Amino acid sequence: MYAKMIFTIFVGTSLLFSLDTGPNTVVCDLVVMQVQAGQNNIETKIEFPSFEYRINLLLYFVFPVLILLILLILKIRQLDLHLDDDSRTN
Amino acid sequence: MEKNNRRKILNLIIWGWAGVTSIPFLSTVFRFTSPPKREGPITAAVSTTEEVPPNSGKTVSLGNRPVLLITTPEGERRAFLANCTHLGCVVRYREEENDIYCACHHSVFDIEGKNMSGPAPRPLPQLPIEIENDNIVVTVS
Amino acid sequence: MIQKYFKNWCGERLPLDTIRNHFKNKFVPRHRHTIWYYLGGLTVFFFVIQLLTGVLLMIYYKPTMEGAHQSVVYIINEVPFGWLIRSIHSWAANLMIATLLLHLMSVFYLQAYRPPRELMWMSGFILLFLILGFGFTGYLLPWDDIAFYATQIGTEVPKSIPLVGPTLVALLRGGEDIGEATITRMYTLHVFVLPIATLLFVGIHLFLSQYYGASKPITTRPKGKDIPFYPNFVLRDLRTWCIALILLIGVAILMPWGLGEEADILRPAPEGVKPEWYFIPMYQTLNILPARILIFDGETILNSVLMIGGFVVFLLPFLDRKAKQRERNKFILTAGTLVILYCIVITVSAYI
Repeated sequence: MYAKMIFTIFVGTSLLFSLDTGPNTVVCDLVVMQVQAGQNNIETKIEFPSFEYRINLLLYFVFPVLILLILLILKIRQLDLHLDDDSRTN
Repeated sequence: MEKNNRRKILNLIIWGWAGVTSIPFLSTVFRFTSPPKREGPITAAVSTTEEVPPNSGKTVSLGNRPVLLITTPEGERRAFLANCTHLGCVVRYREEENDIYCACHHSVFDIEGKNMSGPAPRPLPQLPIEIENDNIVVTVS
Repeated sequence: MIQKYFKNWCGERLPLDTIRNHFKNKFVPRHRHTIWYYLGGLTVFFFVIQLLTGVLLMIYYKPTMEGAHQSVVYIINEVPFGWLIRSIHSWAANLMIATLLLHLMSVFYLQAYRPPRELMWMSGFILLFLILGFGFTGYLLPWDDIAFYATQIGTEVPKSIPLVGPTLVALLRGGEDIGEATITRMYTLHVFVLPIATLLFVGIHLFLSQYYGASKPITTRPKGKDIPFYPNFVLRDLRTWCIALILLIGVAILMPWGLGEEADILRPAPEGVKPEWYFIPMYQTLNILPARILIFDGETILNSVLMIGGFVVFLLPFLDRKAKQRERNKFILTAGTLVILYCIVITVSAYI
């Protein structure tokens, strides 16, 4: 069973790699050095996204965390109920 | 029993939602680390005709990519993307053999860029070339 | 089935039962000061955020004189969410120092440093200096003019320490003046030396906190049963972290951290050069102090006082004999309160 599993994983990864061998998958050191030397035309003023965009972004990040927070609070309540049950019986 | 089940379900929901919560953060990290896209085609004068006499080759950089310029013994000019189609090493022109050679794994291409021997699976991509006032103008996409 | 197999496999090889038993038998005291127990965990949370965002920023940052400011501009303007990651890094740094200082104060006022927790106090004290070191070295890296002058002043301060002062300054700057050598030195400290040292001491500090458990304040009466550490208190910690994350992202997005003009060695100092707020008490005291007091240099006196003061605070658990006998030490509490009040007043005066 293990031999089969390992064989499948091996064949699977080989297939995946063989799909992805275009001309530029591995780049020489020479090219990397040129990339580093090439970026010299950057302006020096910084700019932030618009306020509307940032508000949307805030919701995008905060909303799931807020739900998680509510779930955690519910869980803590549930556990504390149990805790107080214990103290009553003791 | 029923109480125990309820507890389990809440645990499951919390774990599941924690996974959902991680998605925006992970995708942000992915977007941040993804390299910027290459810009569109670049055309530029990369060399003078004098610098590449017949039966010679020269590697120049264009848009951060190595480009191999060659002039055949007959005086015909060609430009190739100089990354070997095998694993991307930079290839060079060999005057004696009159071919293009990659030293990493000994792939050999002819002066048309066609892969002749060695592990290279495809021909070298040829680039459009123009001569303007003794300058070699190459376009890389 | 796989889950069970995996659990058994690990259980045979690792002391999982010992760890489980430890957590099962660990309780956190519940009283009206329980809220202060969250501050240490909160500081760790911000530290983890710093590690993650720091690694991300490292991908694009270039520690050279030409590249430093440009690469930060590039991160803010060009890299997707770059402005956000940098804003989070800057904000979390400040919030981390704030929670660290509050944690320090709570431990001081609850006299939790008393035996047997001397080593926790001492490792925490070392962590304070490591984190301040992060703040100091990181401040220069964007290479904007305010940061440049703040570092100029900051690295000048140790000069007045007798004997070793000038050598120390040269070591920090990598030469007589601030330049490329300073950037690479600050960068090495900021991304390698300090993180490794901090992780080591955080490890020690956390291990000790698990070993000793939370300290019960001397005079406070317990309120209800103690809270089991796992899962009850861990979930409470997670809840605090969620709130902290929401606040952090909120400020980072709504008030994104800015960047000054690129530093220029030839330009005269701009108005309003100030170090970060946590260095203000020291900086402002230096401003007030006369250049010479009797035969001594003002700076030398400040340095000596700070060094002796630091030493006293470091050895506080050994000096406070009353806390050992579970009594409140009025003298030490008053002295500490005076120092804290002085810092607050002088910081506020620097901003008005």
